[in-house]
Amino acid sequence: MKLTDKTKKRLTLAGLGVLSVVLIVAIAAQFRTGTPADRQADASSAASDASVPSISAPGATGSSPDVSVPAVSAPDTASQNGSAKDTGDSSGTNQSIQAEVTKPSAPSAEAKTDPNRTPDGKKASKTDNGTPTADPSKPSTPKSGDKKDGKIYVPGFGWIEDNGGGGSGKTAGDMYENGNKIGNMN
Amino acid sequence: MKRVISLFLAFVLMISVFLPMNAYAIGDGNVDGGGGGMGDGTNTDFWNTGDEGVRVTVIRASDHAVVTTPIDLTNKHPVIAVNFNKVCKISYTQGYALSPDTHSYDYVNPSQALPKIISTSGGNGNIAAIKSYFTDEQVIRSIANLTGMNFNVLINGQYKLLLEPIAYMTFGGVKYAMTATEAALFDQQLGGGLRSKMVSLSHKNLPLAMFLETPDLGYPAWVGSTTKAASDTDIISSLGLGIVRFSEAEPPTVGTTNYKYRVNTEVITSVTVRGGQSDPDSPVTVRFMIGGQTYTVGGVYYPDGDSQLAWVRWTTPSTPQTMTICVSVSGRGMASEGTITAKIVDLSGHDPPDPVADDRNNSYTASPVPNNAQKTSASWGVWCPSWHANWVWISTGEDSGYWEDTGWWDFNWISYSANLNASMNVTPDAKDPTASGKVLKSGYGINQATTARVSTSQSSAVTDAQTAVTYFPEFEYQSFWRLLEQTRSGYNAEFEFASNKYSTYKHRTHFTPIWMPDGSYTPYTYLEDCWTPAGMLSMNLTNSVTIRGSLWSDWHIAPVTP
Repeated sequence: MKLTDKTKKRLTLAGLGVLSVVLIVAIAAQFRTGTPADRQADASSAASDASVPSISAPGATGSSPDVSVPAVSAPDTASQNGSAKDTGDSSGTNQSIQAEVTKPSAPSAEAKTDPNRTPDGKKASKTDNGTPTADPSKPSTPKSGDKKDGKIYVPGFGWIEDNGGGGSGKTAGDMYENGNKIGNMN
Repeated sequence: MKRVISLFLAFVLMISVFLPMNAYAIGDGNVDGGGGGMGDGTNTDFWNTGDEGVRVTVIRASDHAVVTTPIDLTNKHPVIAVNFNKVCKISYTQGYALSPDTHSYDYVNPSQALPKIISTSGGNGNIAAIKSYFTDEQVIRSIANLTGMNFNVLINGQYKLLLEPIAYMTFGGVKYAMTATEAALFDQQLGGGLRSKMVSLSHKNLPLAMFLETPDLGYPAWVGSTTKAASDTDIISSLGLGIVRFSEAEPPTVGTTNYKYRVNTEVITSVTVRGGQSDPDSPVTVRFMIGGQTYTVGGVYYPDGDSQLAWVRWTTPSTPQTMTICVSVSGRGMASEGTITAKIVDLSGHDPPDPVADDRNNSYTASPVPNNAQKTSASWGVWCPSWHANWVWISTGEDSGYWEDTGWWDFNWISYSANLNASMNVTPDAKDPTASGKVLKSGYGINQATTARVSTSQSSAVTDAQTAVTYFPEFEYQSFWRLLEQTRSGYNAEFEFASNKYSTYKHRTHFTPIWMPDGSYTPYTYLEDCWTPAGMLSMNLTNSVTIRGSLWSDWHIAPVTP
């Protein structure tokens, strides 16, 4: 079948039209991730305005300004780490900031030569060239950023409540340099 | 047809311009030429130039109190999975623990963009623009508005702005917002895990984005390298901060090379050890030579590139003197100080003179109550190594061989802290015949009860509060004072006046001057000598009684009853 120029033109335009729709959808998908955060930003700006601490100016008498200092408590970091036991020794002239740490004792000769098991008890299997290798063990801890049951895994802290993160910003329209330098950073 | 193709190509070109592009660390222009890239620069660990901000907090100069909730300024619209709340460096210095938060991250976009904060070439070549921006009147007015602080109060010289660079980085596939201090604390929590991936950002360009040229707010001027990655300890103690002040900087506090101790006091003397790696295979041992005695301190381990505080607990001699403590390190490490000068002083022997009925002071005016430097909490930590086995088969022939351990040492950071809480109470002496509650007539005595409670997670490294000295308004809180007697020792110590030799009943009393005018009478007590590896804890204490009338009014002349 021979296509006329008119048909070719129509087919080309139709093809471009379909391509455009696909590209528009793809572009919209790229922008979609930022949209909820921006909306959230507007909503929470008002809330953050309301929570700005109120600090009153001093009177004309020159007395100390009445500034309330938020209580900054020092949580017991030991309880956070869980394993922060005091193993130090500060008595006498031989002191130590922690108990002496030693390497695990050497395995027996029998354990060292068993090709089916590593000396620390892990199962071993032979590779293609016949060399025994410890089987890769499943990681005992989750990966950074793993999510489960409404929690997110943060290395160093474990599973913590996942509130979804995001960002909420506001603009300080009056933050600009007017040229009058009043502070000192030297 | 050609026209259609041209239109199509133009359309594709336009789309490619608007498509967002990610910049990854590998092969990216944000890598300096002098010391490595942004860690491993994988698609789970990366940072893009410009993903930065500044945390601003108002600090009261007199006592380093944090008086406003910090605000984070940025030119970006960061979407953050984990941040560490709005906590400033001073709060962390005072012992606040790092705490992750997954709520929405709050930030402020200035109308005039911030200057570039984090340089990628080591040090910070843009510091002049940063100074210009944050010392500008209108910028400070805006910060005052945002923090809720009155502008005139903010700039009256009693407050300072604490600035901290922030990086928005992806680590382990998670987007974080963190200051330099938070990065170092996080790295300690991970046993060096952040440093191993993001060293050029987290331990070099971020902390070196801002540091002090003049010591202030208890932080020293940075004199270390501005081109090499810093240790967690150095970042926490000295880097990642700028201060805008509206008065003079504080005089530098006494450094670790110049301790001032009291006689007969149990103290902790610390040095920082760094250099190479210290592990059980190649440990460092620190020796302190004090007054002819050598103290050997072990258990000092740290990973390569980091450091560890090492301390010795000892008791000062009973006579005032100046001592030189020599510090040596065996192994690959080096101590921050080779010699430490310790001045031992005796605070006793300055009791007020015997009060007499003829004492007069018609020109008395109340002096302001002293406000000495106080530190009520401290935190430090210990690197704890653990062996990470890695068994490799060494073949010695067909079907023969043995396992060889080619493992390495991992390091875990164990955090410790100490807190000091204390209270002081003055009351009229029990022998005062006319006292009522906290009201007494001048000339009678007062008693004092001071309690000092110390809590810590490492008791081997923390002494109890051992010294309390009370100063009085009639001596302008100087010239004469009373060294309190510790009536109960330990972490729940109690102090009272020592027995007064001028007291008829030898009571633990201090006589108010008979000329003291009516009104509030406020003794001041400085509690100190609670020693930790991170310095001494101390506290200012005051309490008052009310003077109403004088002892003379309780006396009269009358004929003796026959």
